[in-house]
Amino acid sequence: MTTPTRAIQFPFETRQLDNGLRVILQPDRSSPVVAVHVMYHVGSKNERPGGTGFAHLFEHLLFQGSEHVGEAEHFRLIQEAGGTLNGSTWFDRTNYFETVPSHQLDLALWLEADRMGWFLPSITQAKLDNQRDVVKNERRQSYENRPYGLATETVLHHAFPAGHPYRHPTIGYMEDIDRANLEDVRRFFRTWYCPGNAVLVLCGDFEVEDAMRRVNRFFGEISWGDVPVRPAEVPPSDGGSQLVRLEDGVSVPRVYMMYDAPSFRSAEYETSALIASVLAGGRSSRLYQELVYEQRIAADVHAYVWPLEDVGMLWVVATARPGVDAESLRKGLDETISRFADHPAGDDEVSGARRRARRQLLLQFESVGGRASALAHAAVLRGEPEYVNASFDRYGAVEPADLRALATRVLAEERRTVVEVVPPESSQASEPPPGTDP
Amino acid sequence: MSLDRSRPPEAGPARPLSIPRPDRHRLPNGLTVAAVRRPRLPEATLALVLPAGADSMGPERAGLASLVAKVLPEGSSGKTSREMATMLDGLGVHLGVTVGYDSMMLRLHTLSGQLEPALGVLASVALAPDFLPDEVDRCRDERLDAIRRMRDEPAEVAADVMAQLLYGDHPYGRLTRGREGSVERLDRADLVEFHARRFSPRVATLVACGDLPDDFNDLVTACFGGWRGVEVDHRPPDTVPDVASPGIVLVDRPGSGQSEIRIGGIGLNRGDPDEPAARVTNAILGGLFNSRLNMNLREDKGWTYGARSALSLRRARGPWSLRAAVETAVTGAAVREMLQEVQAMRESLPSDGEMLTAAGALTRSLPLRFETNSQVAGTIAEQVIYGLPDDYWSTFPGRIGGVSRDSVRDIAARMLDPEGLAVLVVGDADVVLPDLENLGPVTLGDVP
Repeated sequence: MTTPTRAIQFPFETRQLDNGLRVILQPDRSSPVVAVHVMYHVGSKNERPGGTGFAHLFEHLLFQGSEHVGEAEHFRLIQEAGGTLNGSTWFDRTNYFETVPSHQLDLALWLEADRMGWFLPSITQAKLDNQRDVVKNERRQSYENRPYGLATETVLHHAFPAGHPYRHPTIGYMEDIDRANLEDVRRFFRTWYCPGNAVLVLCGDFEVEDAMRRVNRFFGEISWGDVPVRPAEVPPSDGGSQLVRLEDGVSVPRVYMMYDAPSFRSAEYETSALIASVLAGGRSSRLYQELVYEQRIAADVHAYVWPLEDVGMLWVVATARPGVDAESLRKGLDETISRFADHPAGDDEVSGARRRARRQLLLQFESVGGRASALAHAAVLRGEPEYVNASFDRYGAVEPADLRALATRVLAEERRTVVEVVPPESSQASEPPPGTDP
Repeated sequence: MSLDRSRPPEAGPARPLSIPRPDRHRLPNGLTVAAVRRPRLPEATLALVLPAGADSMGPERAGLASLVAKVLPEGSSGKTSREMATMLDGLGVHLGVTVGYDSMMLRLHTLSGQLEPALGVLASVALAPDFLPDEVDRCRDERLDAIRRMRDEPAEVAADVMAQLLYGDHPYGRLTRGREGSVERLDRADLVEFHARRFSPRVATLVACGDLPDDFNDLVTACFGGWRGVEVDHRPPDTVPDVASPGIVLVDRPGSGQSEIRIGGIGLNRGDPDEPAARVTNAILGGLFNSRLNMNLREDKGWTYGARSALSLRRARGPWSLRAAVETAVTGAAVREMLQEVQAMRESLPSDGEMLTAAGALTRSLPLRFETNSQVAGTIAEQVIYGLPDDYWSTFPGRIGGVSRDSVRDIAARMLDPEGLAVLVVGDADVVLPDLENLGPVTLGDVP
């Protein structure tokens, strides 16, 4: 027997400190843990030409101590307290987060406040040089020395025009990482790391007014700073269609397709996610059935959307079976994708996709860390933390007709970028790695 | 009073942690049900846990358990692969079958509104797989493709070669997915036989955690009550071979921008009396961000994105190994530094501060281990696989707290002798070979 899923609500409060810091408090006393999540509204899209990778390098530096916190102490104190922590950088935002046993809330607040308010006195050339080397090794390990590791940045490079904020990858290019200097660090901090450009989310085992007193105590005396001015509008992608071939040390080809899609702020974002799910969201999905089971030309196929602020990206990625060339795989993908127009997604396909999406949301909301991250993203990228509670219902409300209407616009061969990653010997003309544009 | 920011704030009193204990229930056919009701959100995790891991596979049958796991969801109870997939995806359920050395686990996550049909699908997949010949062939081909594709991944190559260096022909001597030569020879009869001999309600446990209905046990009985299985006569290996140390082994990967380094030996088994001391030792050496390996290779030298060590506790003695991916030019120097860190653990006592950090990270993190339903299900599954008592985690902090500085040095001295450790590098031989030869004789290894 199947029963309707009950609604979910996470009650939260939103406050703002006098210095502009927005605070979201979501109490949940079911486990003695608390998540502290600070998200700054700055990411790789805010980097200057020739300075790619800087937002991410800067994130590394924020773990190197601040005026009252010694080098490497941030990690030690949180791990010794039984907590977990990390940070991450993406196109639109940079976040820093820890989950700790709830009686250690003050520790996490003290650490986050110190690097928000007292970071600059601690930075040195030696720290910058060390983390520059670490980041270059991160680029080697996660991208350059990994099969298919450069595919995504190649797609971005060809999808967006020169100077576009989403044209380069968050990790940045080696020569740009080399260029970063201490003055850049200071300027970046002053420009983007003020309380008014950040959201602090607390989620878990606390009482709201007590937690708010603690937040005020640690963050209240951080000075204002000017909230940065943002570009009025970000242009869309090139709008054209591109097909690029990239040689890599791989034994079988893989095809990356990226379609212009609705942004995370769009009313159609959830619909775009369900289109991806109907295409390749499970073993019964269209591409999986056709390419993996029927034609047996693909080893795997995936489709997903990226929740971005100013643009949208719907990705379809498939790996060839041995002996299948990139062109045949691409044609196979195109045939099935183009069928979406004549054979729109039916009730069963859409209902399954809705359930999968809601189940995945619950997996994220299950932990205080996942929920804090969702609230921070909704607050920073959409300006409405309420989206977290609405999202569960919004996915439930998407109808087949919505998918039909959006798919006609999004799944168009004229509005996408394709990169075929191929083994070295089969390549005709190799694509030079993307470089920086002036 | 103004705030003193110069030192970390004092923590208040810890809120008590209640470690969930499962309600146990046994069906007449022997199946154990271990359920924890935590209806926080409308979802639940189920895990059918079986002692059907990759622990019995000799080199010629390596990959069998893993291939069984891959084929299980591809057709059962007379339904085709496509029908099964349509049913699962329509319910919105995620079903994953994972294989370790000691167990196989069918793990399912569902909205609680779909729990009842999801339980039916789980039973069908576990109890009545058809091993359709076409699906077996397709899955074996895909697995072979994947094994070949993994040769492109330096970290995967390093993991597989390291297993071989440490364990030879023992089941731990290869990854659970097996190797090309053994998987090629597996056929439908092997899969059917494995399922018949190793899947039985008498040795299985169904773990459930989340928003479970009041009549959950009745639902389980309806789906699993008819399961009949043989007496399982399989005995997992509890010993490991004594493989001579290979010294330094280099697998050439021309043009590599980094070298994957693995240094390790055979550690201890789950439940060894030295387990607490080994856990503390590993946390000091390389289990945490602030551990010696990472502070040296990453935070001091900048040679890597991260260096760490891992203690793998299995039914028989698992590996204890160090790893890092470092830029090619410093490969020899990095190996030397890693060996020196090992040597330092053996020669001198850890500091009080290191002991505090290690013990804190291991014991104060318990509230985080029991936060979500999927974590609770996973932790109970682990208890089932290794026969851990229900008070294992509540007594864990006491065991860690009893570890002395001397016992840390002693266990490092006993188990991490650099002379006996295997050193593996997957990287560009043209660049790294001369440096490695300065450290000792180097054997060239092949990609399996």
